[in-house]
Amino acid sequence: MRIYIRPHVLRSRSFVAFKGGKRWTSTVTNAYDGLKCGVEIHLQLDTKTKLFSNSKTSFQATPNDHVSYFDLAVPGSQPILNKHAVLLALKAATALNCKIHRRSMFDRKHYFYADQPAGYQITQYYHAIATDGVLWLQPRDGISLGDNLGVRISQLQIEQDTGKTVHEIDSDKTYIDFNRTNHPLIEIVSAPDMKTPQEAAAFVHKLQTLMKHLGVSTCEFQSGAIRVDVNVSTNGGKRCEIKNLASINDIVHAIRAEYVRQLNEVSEGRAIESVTLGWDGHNISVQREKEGSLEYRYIPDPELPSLLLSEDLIRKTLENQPKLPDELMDELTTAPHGLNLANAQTILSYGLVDYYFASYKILENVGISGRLAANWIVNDILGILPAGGEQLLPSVVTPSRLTELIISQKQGKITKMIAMNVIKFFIENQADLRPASEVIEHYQLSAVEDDNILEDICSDILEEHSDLVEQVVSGKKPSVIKFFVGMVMKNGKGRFNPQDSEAIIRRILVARHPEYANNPKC
Amino acid sequence: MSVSQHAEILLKEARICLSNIASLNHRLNALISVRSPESVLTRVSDVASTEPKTGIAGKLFAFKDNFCTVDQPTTCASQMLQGYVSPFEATVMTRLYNHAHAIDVGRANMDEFAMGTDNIFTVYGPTLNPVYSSPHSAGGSSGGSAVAVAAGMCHFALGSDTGGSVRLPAAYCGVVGFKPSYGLVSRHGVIAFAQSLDTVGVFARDVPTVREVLSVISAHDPLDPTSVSTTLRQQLKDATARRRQSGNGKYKIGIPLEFIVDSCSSEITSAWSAVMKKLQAQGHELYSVSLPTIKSALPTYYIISPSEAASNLSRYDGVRYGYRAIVDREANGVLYGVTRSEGFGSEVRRRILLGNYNLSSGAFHNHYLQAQKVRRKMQLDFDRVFVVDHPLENPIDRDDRPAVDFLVTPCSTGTAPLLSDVLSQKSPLDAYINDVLTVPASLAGIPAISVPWHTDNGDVVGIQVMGQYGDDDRVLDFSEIIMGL
Repeated sequence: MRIYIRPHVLRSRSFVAFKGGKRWTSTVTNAYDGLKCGVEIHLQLDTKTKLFSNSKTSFQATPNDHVSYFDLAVPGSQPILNKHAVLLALKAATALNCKIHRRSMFDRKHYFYADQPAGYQITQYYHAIATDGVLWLQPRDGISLGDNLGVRISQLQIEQDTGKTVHEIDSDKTYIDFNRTNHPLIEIVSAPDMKTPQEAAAFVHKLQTLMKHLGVSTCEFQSGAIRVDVNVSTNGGKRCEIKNLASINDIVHAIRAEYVRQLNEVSEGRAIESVTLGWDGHNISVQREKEGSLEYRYIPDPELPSLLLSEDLIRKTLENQPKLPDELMDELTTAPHGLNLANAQTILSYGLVDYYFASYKILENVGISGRLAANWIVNDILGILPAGGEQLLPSVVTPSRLTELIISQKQGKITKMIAMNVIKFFIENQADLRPASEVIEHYQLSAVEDDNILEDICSDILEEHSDLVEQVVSGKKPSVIKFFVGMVMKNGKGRFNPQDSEAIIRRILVARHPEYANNPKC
Repeated sequence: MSVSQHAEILLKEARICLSNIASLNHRLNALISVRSPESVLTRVSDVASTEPKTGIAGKLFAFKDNFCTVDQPTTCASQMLQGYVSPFEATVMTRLYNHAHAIDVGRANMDEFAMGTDNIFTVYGPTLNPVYSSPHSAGGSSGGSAVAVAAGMCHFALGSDTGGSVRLPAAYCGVVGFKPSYGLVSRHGVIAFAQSLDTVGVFARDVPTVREVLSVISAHDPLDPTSVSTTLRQQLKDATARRRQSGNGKYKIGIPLEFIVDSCSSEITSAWSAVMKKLQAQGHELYSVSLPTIKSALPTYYIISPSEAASNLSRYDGVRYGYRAIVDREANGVLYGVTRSEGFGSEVRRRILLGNYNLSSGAFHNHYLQAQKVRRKMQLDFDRVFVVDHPLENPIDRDDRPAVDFLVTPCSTGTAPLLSDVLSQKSPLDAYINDVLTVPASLAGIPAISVPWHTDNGDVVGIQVMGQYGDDDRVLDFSEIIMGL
């Protein structure tokens, strides 16, 4: 699933909000006066096993295949902390410039629900692992031009995920799948520093990019690895919470709709109540009245000792932090790379920065523009890969293989179409470790210099489609010539250069239909 | 002694135990489920035919019904877990079965979910004290385990002590009941009541048997997050060896003033003074010491333990295991309520309500948080009176006040009461007051034992010995001295 978002979507301004069939067109166009948003994000950590037991984490596995006694709250079972989860939380907190607390604790948050077997969730309420961080947004992240925006991070805490309840349609049965129970989560709570829906969306997107880059979480909406709740208030009034927004677009539209709803409430003389809302893709609707009276009976977990982090660990986490996306974006968009914003973001979001740099270096060493690698990656290669295929690029279509193909194409030895086929071949035959040149040699894929063969093919194509020839020659549909070129490429199995093919086709046409040469449209 | 002579003795002892079970269990109701005599004798002879692995190989034991095993239901004497068979075995059970080759004769009666002081809050009916011919309380919550040992049904028994649940029944029934330092014996597979207080304890008729059992069950368990590390265990072992070597067999004994309570009966106080006099005559030094926070021990315990209990018992809803009411929701769709009301007994429900109240945001700061602070202060009070430093703390400033090896106090405020008196108690608080002498050691996590004492009048009383955290072996040393007086 691609999480690349073109910046202009985030900056688009026109909108409408719907409410129960009535169409509300807001009179506000350029500003969201008085709007304040805060965000609460839950991220599933990318660990192999769960937070307090060693059953495996999973997604869409057969229900209840990955459940241990502790996950089910079997009597007599006990929690054993997964240290990898702590390390990922520490990495996340460090990248968000948080204050890391050497001592934090685990607390129980009690509530009864079918997907919470123990009757409580283990979280960090009183003393979280990190507080007081900041994530900086720049205009290129999708906020309006002007100063950078520092969104403060109030708290980052480690906690357990819950199970899933599945309601059977047309039945009174509800099923519970405990695979997700006890999956490690971090909850990131921001201060209400965002003043437009675009800023909120930009914040979430930037957080996703950052956490994915660090390997903290896959950050995908579809798998539930990221869950976003937004708090919205207008003009200093009570804040309302919109829960479970399912995509970046939803965040923008839901905040807009809520802003309109709140302004509307006030304009009709009603005070804003602190409610919980849901967004179904079109409408904002109230789910729960009067939040804040839920009694969670927080208690420090009597079985779990305080989490104590050494100064050494905290320091080393900072020292070993890889280059963060902002720094990489700066590198990619400035000299010598000078990629445009969209390409740079694509390469970054697909985790291909090092891959690109390595390819760039090889190309530059032989006097070819290294930026070609970026063009190839973004414009051609990503398009032909299966979902998730980009993960195979660094190891299968190695920088050396990739650059061989680029160099060959530049030198006219192969066409780009052939190059893409070779790449597909590599992906489908991972056991074959031969360099690109050998594969090209073996399958005789190099561009054919023999014009005779090309001429024959062109001739055949023109004869086959003689009906269309008239269209081109007469000037009625000059672009049909591209169709001919495409057919030649297909028949020639990509071994012929499209430029050469077009030239030969024209030559044949002129030879056979002299009037074609005189046609000004050709 | 040859293997076959040893086997003969084991089989003979087993037969005696089995015959006691057959003749006494019906009336005393100590064991809620009993192994068939044939199976027990078969297992004894199997074990006896090999070289004994440990001192308790081939010996018989009973265990409280909150230790999980995989071959029988573990019910905690509650309707809520009737028929519940655990999918895994408690670590201590594995150690006793597999490492030590001890043999169990049955599951012991208890107060439901370990909440009670007289073994009357149980779906199986009360356990009777074998010391008395008329029905007397066996003490709780590990009443069944204490009685099984006292009535000769087994060599030793396992119980759990959260606020005195091993020491009190031991005192009432006239057997040895030991609560080790918190964290030495694994709680993995022991159904939780209050996890920061629950401690696996041992009953036996003499101290050497207690030592044998401990040598098997006291070990680091990586599955228990509160299990004391191997490093610390080695440190404690070394420290004990040093102290034993440098000692001369005479100890400094502390009499804590705050344990002299008005509610103590005359039998108790006279037994206590008799013991102290004999100890002094033997050459041990007596000191009067003070632990001011002890006065707050009972309310502290009755804030912390129900709060943890309410949390730990939240999981019982009948959805994944255990009892589920036939109609498990009310008309408005509230799930769980009926199951929990029907599944839990009155004392358990009382403590859950009390616990939830203490944890609610209104009460939390005033009750729960304060109680934890008092608990911490109490631990420091103990650190000040013990000559041995707490192994996990910096040495404390004792201000030149006397420091002692052990504290000696009674275990209970009276001898075992009549069951009829207990059953007719108007207020549950009357029962809670029973715990006043035992909860301090639970709150501080220190080792404590009840040593049986028979007065000249024939009263059966428990004398409590408490030592510093980790000083378990020397507490047992001193207990043997008292038993020999």
